[in-house]
Amino acid sequence: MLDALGDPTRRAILTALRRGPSSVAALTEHVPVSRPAISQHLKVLGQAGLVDHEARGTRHIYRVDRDGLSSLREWLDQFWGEALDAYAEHVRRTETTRGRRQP
Amino acid sequence: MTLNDTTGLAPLVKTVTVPTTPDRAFYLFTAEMSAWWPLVTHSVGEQDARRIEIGEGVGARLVEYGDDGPLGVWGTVSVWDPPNAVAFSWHPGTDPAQATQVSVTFTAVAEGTEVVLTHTDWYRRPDGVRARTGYVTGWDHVLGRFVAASSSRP
Repeated sequence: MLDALGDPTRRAILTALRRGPSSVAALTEHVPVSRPAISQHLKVLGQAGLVDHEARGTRHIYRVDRDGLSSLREWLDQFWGEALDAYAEHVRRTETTRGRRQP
Repeated sequence: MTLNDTTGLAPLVKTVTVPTTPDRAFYLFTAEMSAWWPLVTHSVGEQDARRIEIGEGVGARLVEYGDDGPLGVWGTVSVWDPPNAVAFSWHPGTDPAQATQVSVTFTAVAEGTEVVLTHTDWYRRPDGVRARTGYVTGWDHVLGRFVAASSSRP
């Protein structure tokens, strides 16, 4: 999933889609690369679960896929929660010891 | 459905309150980072990681070390304001150009110090796949360590 975000153009596309669903043609106004290039980047973002699309007539409308981002967010939430819990445990242990040494 | 900043892409914020002064909380967070950071699961080197050090002052680095020296730079300090705040770029295992930002504040409260960690632009984090692999495989180990630490106390 995250390799998909290693590219600045793909991040720009994702940022543009945050403002709302968009066609490839509309995206070219925000992202300075060709339409075929944008389509290729959208394909990568789609495979990564970050962008979703639906057909409206002959056009495809692309949008940010909340589920893909939610799973990343959940994982990072757990990552930092775990780190901060370990930190709090270290503080409690350290300060209890100090309290005994310095009554 | 559109995504807005109050849901999907808003900064990730985690809060914990610790029973000590902001001075001590800041010191223990930074100078003693290696003593508490769950290295096996939260590192690039995983089993080979030995310690993590954060340098003092703006421009200092966060570095992960193994037995034979540095395994990688995780970020660079952008705010160094003891005992109030520390902030750093965040790019474990990847190019600094792809960094996200982490800031930590320390505020005195009745129970001690409230520590608030904010991870901005987290959705750009390009190292997640690798870190996540380590996270999953090392989970049991860290849980075991917590249990052991808890039960060894009086």
